[in-house]
Amino acid sequence: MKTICKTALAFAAAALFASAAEGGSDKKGSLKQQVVGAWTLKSNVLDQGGTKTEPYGSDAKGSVILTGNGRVALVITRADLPKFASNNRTTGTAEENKAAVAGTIAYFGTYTVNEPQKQLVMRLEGCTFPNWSGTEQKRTLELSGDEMKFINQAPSMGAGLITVTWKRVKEGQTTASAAQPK
Amino acid sequence: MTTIIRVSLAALAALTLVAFAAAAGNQKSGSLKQGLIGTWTMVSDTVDQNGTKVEPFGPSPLGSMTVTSDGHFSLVITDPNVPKFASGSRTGGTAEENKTAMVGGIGYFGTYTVSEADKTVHLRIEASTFPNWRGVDQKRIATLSGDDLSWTNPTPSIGAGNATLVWKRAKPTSRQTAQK
Repeated sequence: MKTICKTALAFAAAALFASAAEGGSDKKGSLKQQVVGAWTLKSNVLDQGGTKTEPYGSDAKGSVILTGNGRVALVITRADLPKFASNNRTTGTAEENKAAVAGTIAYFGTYTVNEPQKQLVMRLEGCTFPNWSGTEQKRTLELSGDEMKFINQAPSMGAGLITVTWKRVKEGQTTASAAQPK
Repeated sequence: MTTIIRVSLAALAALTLVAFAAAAGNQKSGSLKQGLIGTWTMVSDTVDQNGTKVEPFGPSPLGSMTVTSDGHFSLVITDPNVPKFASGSRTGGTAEENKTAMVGGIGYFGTYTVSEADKTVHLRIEASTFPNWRGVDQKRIATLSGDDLSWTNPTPSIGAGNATLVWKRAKPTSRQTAQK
């Protein structure tokens, strides 16, 4: 009887352990574990030699999702882009195309976290900015509770250093409502 | 002693059950919503315009869709044949470069709900690289079969027609890409 109990206990413990492991095999408290989830854009600031600008405007909208199995998808857009008069993505005017391309970016791919260097290393598979498709992109990470910063020393608009601040989306919130008022 | 063991066993069994149930999420087993959760890699994207089929992102589109258990989604599709910008800057494209980038790519994100009865996914798009899709509600008809997902859009961003996006579930360890 005692042996049966011990066996049952061992099985139950193993099942519990397996269930916990399903959440990812990353060490508790690791950066990798902390970055996993859906995040909403809080701010996006470009510093060019001390001059700070907001390349996507002061009310930019954005989302990054980092999955437990190493995939990333990011979209950032200005909130004030004019709609295309034709209502067709492929028939914008030169002005409409320019505003949309200059005011948005979206990409996806895989990622790893370099824990000692506190870096997010992304391998982009596709990007709306064609120059970034197939490239490796590194972001220095700063995490503090439900806030995450991506620091990018090679932004898509050229020179400068960009700091993207994200806020973790809580379950049941829209990404928009998770953002703090600016 | 035996009583203590029995109580401990019962408690442990209950805890194990709770842990498993929590790990599986709170969706009903076999629901469309549960099946959609995860990351999907694009296989094809075809728009049927009155019988004429077009591939808006070319014959080998690269795309990914992530659907989270807490009701968020993000989708990006690009045509790998869009030429790079000569300036190296996203904001310094020529009119032609901007046009091909706009025609050859889209990204959007937001929240979603699923109507199980009519297999419809209701998207609340918060923002998109195509400005006309900012803050709009859209519908997709989802047909799920194992690791294959067919995603029909009756209001594609290229205007008329009916778009059918075929996705394959991304495998946890593969670095890319779905077999065509």
